[in-house]
Amino acid sequence: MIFLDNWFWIFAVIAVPGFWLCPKPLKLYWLLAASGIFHFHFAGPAGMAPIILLALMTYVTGIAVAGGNGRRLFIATCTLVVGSLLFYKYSSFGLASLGAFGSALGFGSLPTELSTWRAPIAPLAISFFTFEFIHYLYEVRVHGREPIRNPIHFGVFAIFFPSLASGPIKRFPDFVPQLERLENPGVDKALAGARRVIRGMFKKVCIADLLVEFIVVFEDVPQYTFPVVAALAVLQGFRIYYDFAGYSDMAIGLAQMLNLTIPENFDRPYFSTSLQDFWRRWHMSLSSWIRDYIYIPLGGNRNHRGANMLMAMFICGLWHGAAWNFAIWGLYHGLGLGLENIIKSRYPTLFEDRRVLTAARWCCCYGFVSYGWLLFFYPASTVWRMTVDPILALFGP
Amino acid sequence: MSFGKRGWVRLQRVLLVGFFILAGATTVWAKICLPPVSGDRPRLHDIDKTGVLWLELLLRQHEVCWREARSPNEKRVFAIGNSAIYGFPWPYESTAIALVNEELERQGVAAHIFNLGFVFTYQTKEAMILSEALRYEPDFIVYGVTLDDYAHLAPFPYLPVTKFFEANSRAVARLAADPPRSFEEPFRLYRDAQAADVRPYASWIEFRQAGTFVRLAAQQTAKTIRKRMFPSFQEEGPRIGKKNPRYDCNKIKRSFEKTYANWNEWSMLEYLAQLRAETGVEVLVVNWPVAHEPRGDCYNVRYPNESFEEYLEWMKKKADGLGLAYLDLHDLLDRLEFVDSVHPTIEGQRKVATRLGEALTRLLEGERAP
Repeated sequence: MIFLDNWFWIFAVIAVPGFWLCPKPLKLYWLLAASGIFHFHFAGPAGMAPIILLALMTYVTGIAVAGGNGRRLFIATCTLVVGSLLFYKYSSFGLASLGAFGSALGFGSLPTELSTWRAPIAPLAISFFTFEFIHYLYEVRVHGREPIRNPIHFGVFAIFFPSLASGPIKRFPDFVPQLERLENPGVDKALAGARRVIRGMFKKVCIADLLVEFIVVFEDVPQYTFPVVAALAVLQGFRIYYDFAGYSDMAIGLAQMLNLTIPENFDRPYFSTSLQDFWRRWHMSLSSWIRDYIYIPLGGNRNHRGANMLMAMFICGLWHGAAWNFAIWGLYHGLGLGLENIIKSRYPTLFEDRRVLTAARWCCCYGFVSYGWLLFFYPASTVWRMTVDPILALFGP
Repeated sequence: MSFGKRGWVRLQRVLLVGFFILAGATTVWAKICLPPVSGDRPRLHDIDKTGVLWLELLLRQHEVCWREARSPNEKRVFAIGNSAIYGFPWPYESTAIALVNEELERQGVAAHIFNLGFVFTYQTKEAMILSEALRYEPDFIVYGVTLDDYAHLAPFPYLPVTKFFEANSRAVARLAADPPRSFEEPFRLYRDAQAADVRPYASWIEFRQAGTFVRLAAQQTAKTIRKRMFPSFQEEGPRIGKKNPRYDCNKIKRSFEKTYANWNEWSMLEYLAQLRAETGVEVLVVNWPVAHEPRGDCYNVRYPNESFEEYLEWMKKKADGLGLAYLDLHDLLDRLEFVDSVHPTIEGQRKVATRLGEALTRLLEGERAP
């Protein structure tokens, strides 16, 4: 984890007070330089080069397509950005899956060169870069937003070090105006930022990492019984929450110490009383991105709502990693959301704000989400055993 | 749900404050014992895990802290030594020390032997463990030793040992101020190698050690719960007997030869005699069995063989001269009863336990010579 690396803390001890001490006109350059050093240290030249290329293309395209112009250029750049993500992160997985499906359906296997193809190591945080660049291009071309003309502003937006590795995914209309009036934070704000960083570290190190110790032991059992599976689902749910929320807290706190605001990512998601509510509180910067740039462009609630939902959640799942368990997790949530919509439209009384109903909805939602974490973390065959073994144990020795 | 955002934040704060109060209290209150990081607390660390090296924590999780005496007359016997005394690579139940306990119980001897063995052969480390363990009031000390333990490693030639002394820098400072007899030089060397004022650095290391400890303790707690849920489940044991082709026995011996020059300048025997005189605690020095010739990986035959005869003679004379009981088991086992150069097989452990148990019973019952 980047924020727990000794190098990072030495870097932060120089970068943050350095920002405070910098004269006002130089603060922006300081931020860019610090972010560049950070990116170079963790990604290396090979990891930085493709991102610089994509950032340059996005910057130039943004200016060229402003005001609804340059449709082809817009499509070409979006294709390049998404294509890079697919190439680095999903090409090996895609080819392997294609080969497996081909053989299973009797079409024969892929040539060895293709089935054994391994993509180069993906540049650091390419998924985050892709989503931020697509958001930028879409907002400028489709929603007619004013593009970022200052290249330094664009550079800082692209590689802002607190959010570089694990988000939150920023929105440029909220972030860039802050760069135009960079100032030192007040003591209260800086202290609040520092507190948030400490809180994030606590969540990550003292809670998430501790839960891992339990999870590792309970994964190594001779038989999946109901208590073991339930414990794994709950522990994995809290582990991923505290891990990711801790990381987000550190990023948000660091940004706060630089007097910048980046989006919140979590809002007590396990208190959700419906799946829709859960996705409004869980990884908010990603779920709102998926809604704005996949679900709504696909048609949103207007037509084929169920299919749009499934597709959006399938992509959301795959975004987490190139493996089928993530895709299945996404589809599982897509189906859950679809089912919830049907129930909501047929039995609206179930969603009334009454204490018993709220508690029942919370139980259903929490159970659904927790089971989902098993799909997220384990291969389908393991989840199958985790599901079937406890049931079979009820019926026999 | 009625549990609002403020309530959630408040709960987090309470948990945070509670955690720090608990951690602080544990450190301050002398007799508080900690959850185990090694099975059911019979050893200082788990076989493959030496992440926690801070003795303050290791002793508090050990049965020296937890075990109540079964009878008012029960003697507490501390076994000090290297990984051979620890019982590497076997589960606790198969080790010589555990088998001695069974033997003592069978014979109705009111005594319990505590395994304070720790991986690495190095007697300065043993001196440190013993001095820290004294607060748990031993009545008897069994010191298992081989010539391997006599390397002069202070202050830095061997990384795991360096880390051990770094994690216990406060104890080093204490021992450097009032060193155990014959260990003046190594403790001075370690103290000089550490910063003049070790406090901030020591606090940081201890903080990290506490973190690692909490994680290991959590894992151990999970294992205990799992054991209750699946009593028949056996964890996979450590893999042994795999030869490492990179070990060149002669090269290892050559590189260590320098550390064995003046090997008997520092000696635990002097320190044990000092303790015996000052506190009345009885001592048994056991010349632990070794394979003598490289076996397996040979990584732990570092001493020059030509020193061995001299060592045997010296040990006997020294122990006799200091009035310490001495049990020579160096030739007890056949070469094939070792998994490598210094660690006996389970059969070897049994033989050691029989001899050690007999000697200990006689000594505890008041007979002087084993």
